[in-house]
Amino acid sequence: MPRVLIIGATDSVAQATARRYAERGARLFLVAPEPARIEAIAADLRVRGAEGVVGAAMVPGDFARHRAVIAEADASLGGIDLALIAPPSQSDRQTAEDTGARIRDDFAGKALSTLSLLTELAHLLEPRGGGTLAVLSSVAGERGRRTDPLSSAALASVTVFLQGLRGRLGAAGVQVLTVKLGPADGPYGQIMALPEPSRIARRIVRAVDRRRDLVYAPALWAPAAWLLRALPEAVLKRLPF
Amino acid sequence: MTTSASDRYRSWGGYPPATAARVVRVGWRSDPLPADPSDGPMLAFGNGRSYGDVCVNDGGTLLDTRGLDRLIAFDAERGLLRCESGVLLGEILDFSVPRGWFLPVTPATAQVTVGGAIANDVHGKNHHRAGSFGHQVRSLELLRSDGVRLTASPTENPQLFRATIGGLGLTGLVTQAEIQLKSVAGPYIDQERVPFANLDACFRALAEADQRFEYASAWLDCAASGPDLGRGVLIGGDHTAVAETRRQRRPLALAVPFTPAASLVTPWTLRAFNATYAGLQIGRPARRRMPVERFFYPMDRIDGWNRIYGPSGLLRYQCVVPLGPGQAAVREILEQIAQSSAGSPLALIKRLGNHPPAGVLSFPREGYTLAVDLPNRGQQTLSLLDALDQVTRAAGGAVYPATDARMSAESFRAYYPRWQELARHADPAFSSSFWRRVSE
Repeated sequence: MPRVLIIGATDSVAQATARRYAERGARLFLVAPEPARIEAIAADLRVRGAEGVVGAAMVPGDFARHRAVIAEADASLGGIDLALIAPPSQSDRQTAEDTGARIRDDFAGKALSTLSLLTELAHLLEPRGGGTLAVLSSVAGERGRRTDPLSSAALASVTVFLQGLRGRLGAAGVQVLTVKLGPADGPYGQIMALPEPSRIARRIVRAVDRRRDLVYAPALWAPAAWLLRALPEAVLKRLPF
Repeated sequence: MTTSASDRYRSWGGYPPATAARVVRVGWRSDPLPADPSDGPMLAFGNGRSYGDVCVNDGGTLLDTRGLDRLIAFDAERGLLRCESGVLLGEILDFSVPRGWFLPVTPATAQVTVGGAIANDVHGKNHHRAGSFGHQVRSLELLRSDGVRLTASPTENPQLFRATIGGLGLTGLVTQAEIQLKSVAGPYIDQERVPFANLDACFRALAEADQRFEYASAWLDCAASGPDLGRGVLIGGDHTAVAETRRQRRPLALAVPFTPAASLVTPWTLRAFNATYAGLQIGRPARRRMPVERFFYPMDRIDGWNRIYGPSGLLRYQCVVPLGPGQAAVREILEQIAQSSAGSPLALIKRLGNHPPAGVLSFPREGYTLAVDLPNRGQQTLSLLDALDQVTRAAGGAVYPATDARMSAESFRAYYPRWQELARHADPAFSSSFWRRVSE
């Protein structure tokens, strides 16, 4: 009976992943901003077989509450086997009118809150020497995209932070999994159909089971991301996305 | 399976073409309607399996309900499932079959949403035993454009309930429904095939099958004419009585990945298909045991099979005609199709039982229902279908809105004399391309 904490539980991939754990009879603790949505998900997970589902309302940018909410989840679940973080969606595009203040708030919501939550979780799990931290990132953070430099930077910072954390926590026996999703917007979204969240969730659960470090979902993004990373700047800056 | 964004908001037949001015995703049943009525008419869009224009809203707003895919409650003693309206029937089965429960009524595809099944009051191969999908709905919640949420059931707001069952999505957004499931021993069907040589034999076989089988329908070879007219094979089935454990193995998934430039359904390919299909029938055993998916949803194994009809799409003609006079009407319709060389590889026929209709605009009624898929060849096809409508109307039958893309307003009002009752309960902010075509 896995004990699963999901932060950003209303995200569609997070929801689909929660269902797979519910089918395994997991106990789940869901964190998201809107209580009514948490309750809708919790009811679904209970029907599907979850042993218990508890929720807490929190906006990701509420840094002051991060430690308390994680402690509450830990106490409620009786320990944490898996903590999955789904950062807020990347749909808000940076625009020409953006001000410095908005950039700061945006980056705080998309990246810093995740780094803060990871730090708190690392403090909890490292001394226990077990458990899994998984974060939904994206191949949109492999390289800076001209259409949305801020989101690229936010995703890249999360991915790199996880790399560092993996090195540190790995020695203590804590798995750190980076999930790289395909970008949901832009030309890819038009050309490549978005895979169903349930299929992505299956890959995530399998990666957790196998204690992997990194998983691309869908798998096709592995070679594509490799290519993106290999592109020289002179070529990259001419790409239209 | 995936669907590319451009393909997602078309009807299954692709005719008539329609483009919504806006598509808004509905992800949470607790949210208010995400569209402003002053922006034009809105319509819920589930999974786009309606053939014609009941699921599209040219120039209006579509409310994509697939995000409403949550289960809400399940009473494992009584088999009562409450779920959101964007849940696919296949997703219900994924949940319920391992727990020993099955949908009491299912159409020939599991790729439809609960909301779509309610709005079209779909039926299955067991209408003679179980009635239509609407008969299994215990209650539902409607979100109206004035912001009011209403519970409707046979006892609460009963008129609105009956207007919503088969109400083509016009009475507001169905956010959730409670459905009665039925207990089954295992995930298998015992199937039996009964070939017949002509149409009279077909009617006899259908009458016998109603007594013998829980599920029954028959395929007719549309290429056969003269004394062979109406030859085909009846397929009956019952749930296997013995409990068997399910092997968690997905059947081979095939897909038509893109739309060919022209229809692949031509007289030549049809002849080849019919010959191959007939050949396959001969070699098969009469009785077989198969998983429920194989029995009910053979076409679901081929993702996007509608694409073989090319960019012009296909038209499905599905009508129901009363048992007595209907036999001549079925013969007349088959003859007209055979003469037209419009070509349908197969026609599906089944008998519907005499249950009182579940909704005001419900299609299922006692009689023979015949369904044929025709490639869209423009005016030629439309003229043929108008001629078929004459036959259906003369026999006192009806055409199924869920598959229709072209019936005249006059025909619609003759088939559904109570249509104004639906109009009275319709939400003023909801409409569809179909509804504007037949009601204005």
